[in-house]
Amino acid sequence: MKRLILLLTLLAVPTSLLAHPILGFPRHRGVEPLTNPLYSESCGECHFAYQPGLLPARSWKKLMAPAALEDHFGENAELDEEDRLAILKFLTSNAADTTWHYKRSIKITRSLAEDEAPLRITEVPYIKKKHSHIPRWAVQDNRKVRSLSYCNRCHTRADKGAFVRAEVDIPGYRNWADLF
Amino acid sequence: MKRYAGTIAMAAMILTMPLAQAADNLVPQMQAQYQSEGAGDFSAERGQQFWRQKHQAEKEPFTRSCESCHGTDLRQPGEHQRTGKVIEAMAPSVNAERFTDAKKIKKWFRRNCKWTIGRECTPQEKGDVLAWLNTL
Amino acid sequence: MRRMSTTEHMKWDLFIRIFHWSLVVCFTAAFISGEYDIEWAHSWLGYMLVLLLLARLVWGVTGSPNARFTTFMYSPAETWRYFRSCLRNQPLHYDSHNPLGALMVFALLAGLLLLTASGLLYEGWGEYEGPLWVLNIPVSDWLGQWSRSLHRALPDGLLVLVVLHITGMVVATLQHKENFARAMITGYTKRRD
Repeated sequence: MKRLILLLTLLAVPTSLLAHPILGFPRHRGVEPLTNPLYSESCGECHFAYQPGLLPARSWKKLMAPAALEDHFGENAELDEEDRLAILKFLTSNAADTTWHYKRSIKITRSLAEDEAPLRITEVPYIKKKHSHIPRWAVQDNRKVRSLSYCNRCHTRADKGAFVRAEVDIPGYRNWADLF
Repeated sequence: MKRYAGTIAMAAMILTMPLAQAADNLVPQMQAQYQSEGAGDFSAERGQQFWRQKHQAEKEPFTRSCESCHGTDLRQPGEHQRTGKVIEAMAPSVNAERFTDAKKIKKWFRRNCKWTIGRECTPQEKGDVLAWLNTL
Repeated sequence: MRRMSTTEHMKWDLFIRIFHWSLVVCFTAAFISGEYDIEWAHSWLGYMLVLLLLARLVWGVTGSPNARFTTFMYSPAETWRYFRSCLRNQPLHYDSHNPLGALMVFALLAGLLLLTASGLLYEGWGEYEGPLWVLNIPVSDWLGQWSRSLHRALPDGLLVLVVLHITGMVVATLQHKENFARAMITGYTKRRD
């Protein structure tokens, strides 16, 4: 009996360490997938529904200000006040800087100075560096992609919050990994 | 049999629900609301004119009208002038989902009027446009 | 007690043998985990490679005579002489690495040092992780981008070196009539008189 307890303790210590939020391994790899239907519907109606874990809360606050929504990168994206507040709450409480269990969110936060609040995900240093070696012909001049802002045109599982290299498929350049 | 009456009734309701929903065209209801906000009688012809009228965009060298993004054939999907986003057909005859969601009608009138003509549309203008689109 | 017979002597000490096979395992695993994007495994294997290489550098100065860098640093003239002796199929004998083998050792060490250094630099610059990030060591964008390119290109080059290394070992085994593979496992080789 004593031995069994000892064995269990010996097993329990490393396992609990593995599951530990900060020291442990299984921090998830991507960003947290979407959990809010109102957000998915309202924002996904027009563009890829970017996961809140792709920007810090201070960025979402700026983006979701009523005046900012009226000129949302050249489009009018006004929402009624009730929806706006609900979406803002979802975004800020799941933002990159409030996330500790998803690796990409952690790296996004690490790459930003505390007072930096980029409005575009493509301006986050971590995201920028990750894409800086991609030639123009693959994205900007590729008629099937056109811009880095269309995450899901190349990241085949972007909607699941997964952005690993192995799951990238650049339209028209299936063999992209051999090209650059 | 009595024992199952409730279940059967529920099943019948569930089965017929989608049919009932899909059929709900809210145009008359919206128009009644616009009239309560001060609009008069609605004219499909005026609606069509309004739809096609071109407006100079503030910062861009080209004009904007509803057609810039919805296209000229409203039975076909349109393509957004700037972003290339595909917009489903406007004609309720080919897109049964059109004008079935009051919240969406309100939201997109507000956004698109401001984007296209630089101000919100009046209840009269909205009622006219719906009158025209509903004939398609 | 065959090993203790007078015709056999210690060629590669225990450190060298453990180092060699650890390197084989770590490099292979790092190559595969890199190819399949298993990030956590890849970085830990990389750190292990760094430690192995650092230990080898120290051992190259303080280790047994056959393991010391000075033992197998040859002049170009001597390397050329050895190369010609191989062409004649009468290779000159060396207790430690022969001049061509030594070239391979230095090439592999340099390649692996560049590979791990570029990995660490890229990790600190672009991944916001690892020793450089933890120690808050800044890496310029230029260096970061360069490290990424290098880290992508080097493994293929090293793979070519590995193939050459194995080929060289097989050829040398035949020419010298000495079992080099066994020497890297047991440490012993037959003394040539």
